[in-house]
Amino acid sequence: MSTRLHLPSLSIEGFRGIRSLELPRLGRVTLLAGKNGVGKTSVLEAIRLYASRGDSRSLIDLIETREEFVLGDNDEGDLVFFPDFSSLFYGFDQQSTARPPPIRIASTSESLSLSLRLEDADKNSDSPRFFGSENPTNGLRVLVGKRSRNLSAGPLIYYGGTRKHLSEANARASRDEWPAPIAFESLGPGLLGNADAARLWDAVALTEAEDFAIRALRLVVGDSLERLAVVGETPRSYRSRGRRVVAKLTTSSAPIPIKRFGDGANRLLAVALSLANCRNGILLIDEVENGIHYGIQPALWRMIFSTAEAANTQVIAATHSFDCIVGFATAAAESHADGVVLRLENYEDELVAVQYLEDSLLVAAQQGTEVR
Amino acid sequence: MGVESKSQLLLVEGNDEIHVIRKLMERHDLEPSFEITQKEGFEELRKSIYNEVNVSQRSALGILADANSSSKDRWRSISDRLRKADCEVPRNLAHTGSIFSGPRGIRVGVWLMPDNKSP
Repeated sequence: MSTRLHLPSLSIEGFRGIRSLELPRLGRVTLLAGKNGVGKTSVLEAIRLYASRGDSRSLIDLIETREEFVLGDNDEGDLVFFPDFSSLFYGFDQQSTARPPPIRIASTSESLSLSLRLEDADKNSDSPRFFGSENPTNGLRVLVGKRSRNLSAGPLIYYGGTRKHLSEANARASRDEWPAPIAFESLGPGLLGNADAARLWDAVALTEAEDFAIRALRLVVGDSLERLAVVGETPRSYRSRGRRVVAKLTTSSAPIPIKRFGDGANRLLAVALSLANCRNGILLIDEVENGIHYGIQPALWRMIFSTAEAANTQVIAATHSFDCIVGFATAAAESHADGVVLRLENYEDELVAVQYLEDSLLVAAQQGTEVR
Repeated sequence: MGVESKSQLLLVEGNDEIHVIRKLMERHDLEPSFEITQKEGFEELRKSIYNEVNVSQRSALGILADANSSSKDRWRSISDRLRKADCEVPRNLAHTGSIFSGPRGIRVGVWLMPDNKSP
């Protein structure tokens, strides 16, 4: 079985609020701790961009999450939203005309690095213009290893509509194929909606990954969990309840909606299905403790450690919770898989990572020493 | 005082040392500007060193331990842990106690009772 990690280390430059950050060591399972706003979410976002090889869907997702749009006219003169790529760049000043330094996300020297450069829009082209301004929106140049391509800031969401679009100008892209992305799933801080749960389920249904997700969920729901299924249809009207996950327990003859098990089970299902969906890939989880009672934190982490190792998945999660770190330490000590906690903090205007390996984590858990 | 008590910590082995330090400070009219934590024995103190150096916003860490049967052995096991935590530990403990720096500007001091050299 391959035990090589996709990201044994990570370096980030010029992304969001991060001028420069070195993470010299990531584990099979890595937990990022640190104060609110220090940059944990930005690190997860950077990994997501890296894994997707700068894919336009991931870029739009990042921009949508933080509502970084600008309003402008499209070709037909309608008012539409455009993605504001500049918001991804460290220290970008809307008032300044200076171009921000490029974003660079890299791991070890033998792996492909990802760079993003903000391109001046061509004033003679039909690039979109800012609302009330003659300035066209910036395009983006994406470089992966030696290959590169341009993304134009095409209209993102039509006003009042939901259509999304981003054109990829491949004119200057290399003839070689674009490097394949690393499989990844990304869980935000919120509870998983029915539609996302159903999507994740569709990808594992009737495969060995299905058993794998059920086994993982059993670690918390208990051995009475027999099977899972998705029922209902894609919503076409407000009366439709949509597709939802139901469970069969040995102790009950009728299927039970997974929601009845509470927020904790929802979160665990999200983690278990996501793990099953990114074998040999990367799973990112923001605010992993959300919905999880402190008493079942060790069970959550046991599930993550054992399934991550079995599925050759690398997990990187962020937390605010000390109970979460204690649960992590307990599971890490029991597992063969390598667990690392990194606390991000600012020191003299630089973002630095303080590393805790398993032995020191266990001592911190026993002695109640604060590692957040 | 303007100093967060948690930012400056003195690690000791047990409650006796806490009393000794408090008495000493009273006698010299010193206001407590740091927290004192006892670790219930040398082994727990030794194991806690890495984490205590790395507590968020820590600016100073003092370590007060008993030389026990050999000050050299004690110094070796303390300095091993401090090196793991990226402290710039001197090879030998000074007879006046040693003060040196650690990661992110933290200052670390070590004193082995009674006098850093005996037995």
